[in-house]
Amino acid sequence: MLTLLKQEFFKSWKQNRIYIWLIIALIVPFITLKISPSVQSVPSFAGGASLASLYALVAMAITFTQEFHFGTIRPLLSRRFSRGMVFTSKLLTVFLNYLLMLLVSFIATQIAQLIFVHDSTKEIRTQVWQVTGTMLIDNILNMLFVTGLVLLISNIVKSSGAAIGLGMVMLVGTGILSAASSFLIAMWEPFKWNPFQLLQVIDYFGTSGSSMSILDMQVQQAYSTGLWAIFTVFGLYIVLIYVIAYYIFRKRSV
Amino acid sequence: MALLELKNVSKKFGHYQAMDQVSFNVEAGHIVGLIGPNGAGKSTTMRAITGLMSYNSGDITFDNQPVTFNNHKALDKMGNLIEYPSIYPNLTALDHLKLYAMDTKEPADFRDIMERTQIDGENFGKRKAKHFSLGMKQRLGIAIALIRNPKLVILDEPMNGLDPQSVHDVRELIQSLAKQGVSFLISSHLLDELQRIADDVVIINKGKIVKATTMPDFLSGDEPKIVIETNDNEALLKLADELAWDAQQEGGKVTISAKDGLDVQAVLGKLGEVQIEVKNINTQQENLENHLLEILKDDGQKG
Repeated sequence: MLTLLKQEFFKSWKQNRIYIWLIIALIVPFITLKISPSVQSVPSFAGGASLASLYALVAMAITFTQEFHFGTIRPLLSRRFSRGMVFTSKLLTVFLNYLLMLLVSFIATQIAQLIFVHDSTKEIRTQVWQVTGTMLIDNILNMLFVTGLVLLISNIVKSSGAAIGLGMVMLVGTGILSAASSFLIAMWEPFKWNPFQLLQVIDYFGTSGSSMSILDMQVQQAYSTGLWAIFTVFGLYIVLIYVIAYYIFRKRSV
Repeated sequence: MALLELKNVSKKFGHYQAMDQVSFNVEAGHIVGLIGPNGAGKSTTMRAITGLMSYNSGDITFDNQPVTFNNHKALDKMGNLIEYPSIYPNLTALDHLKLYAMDTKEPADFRDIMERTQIDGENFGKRKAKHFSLGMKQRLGIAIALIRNPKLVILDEPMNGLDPQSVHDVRELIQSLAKQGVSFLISSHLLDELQRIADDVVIINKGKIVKATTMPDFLSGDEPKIVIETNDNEALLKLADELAWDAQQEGGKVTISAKDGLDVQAVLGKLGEVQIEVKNINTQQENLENHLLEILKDDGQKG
């Protein structure tokens, strides 16, 4: 597995130019906080977190389709490694690069905050840290869900363009899908457990910070259970998407 | 025991029988030519051997270990170039070798491989593969197949896109590696090339092995033929009958087997004596291509 990871990082560094993404992740927080020196931008790493999600989406869309497009999938799969190991190494590479981008934008945000944001009090800073934590969890879960769908689509349609397109729609359109699903929930109540609706709850969680008890109460009212159930079911959706994507990849003829 | 063994391997795609009880061996240090018409099952066979495709029944063993779709352990010592070179456009040739060398603790020497496959380290170490010509890509594909110091190399149309000098160099490379004990399973439509380098030949048609033997055995009994066009082929056939030449007319030409010391000069001499005017004359050496066509024709008639 270590060999496969080394190879994937080698490729992402040389072939897909991850360093360019990292440079952008470093610069964006400085630009954002210079233009708008507000402490409210800090929990989202001043745009850095969204950028990391965008990277993960694009990288996931091309990580397999590119290998098929170049024909490099054959040497990749005709080695001593199993398809499962190749699949896992590719996912891990995308996730680790995503985390690296988050880390870079987090550090950049902290430095930019020291330089450009001067009006925050200790109390506000404490709240910002709390929201940063919940937003980070929200961002990671959001990324896992959207990239999972992108991976699934890219494996089905064998087109990175279509997968990236879908991912873009997903990034900006989950709110719309959640709203649309509200109509269906009105018709059939169990539909509230659909992943887009759950994603909306998780987005609320992301921005809730210290006001978690209010959200928990709302969830109790709507779902007759706690937040933990929302996270568990959503987690299961994510696992299911990746398992289906792997199954399709495993069956693909090369 | 053979390095690579295929025993009764079958593969069906729906109703289409792509491999039908395919059995043959590749011995250590041997160069084996896998030949057959388009769609015969060559690439399918190679894909099954390299673990890229599952098969319905039979066994594939490499280096005494089974090779299946799910069991790739044996593939560590197998290199391949199947159908076309697999190249990352934004990596240089050196990057490619470094990338694939990570697979093994004992990779081949980069410089040696680059020199032997004519990949100039100074130029190709800097240029990205997207700027390579087809021939360059093909040579890089061969270099990649060799980087893990494999015991067996599977090459599907390795001479594709190569200029005559490169063909010569690749041929020499394959032969020198075979002398060092590396085995090759090569599929190519350049039958003259295969005839020059292959020790053994496996002929596949419609997913079935039609013949698997050594190249000398396959070509044994070959006699050169003299092909003549004259102003009076009937007279020539009559003369051939009188002189007990083995002659046959086909189209406007008469083909005479050049056996028992019969050569062009002797034929011309006899024709001169009876004043038969020769319009055209040449010799034809029996070769792999002729044998293959003959075998495929026979197989077609049986089928």
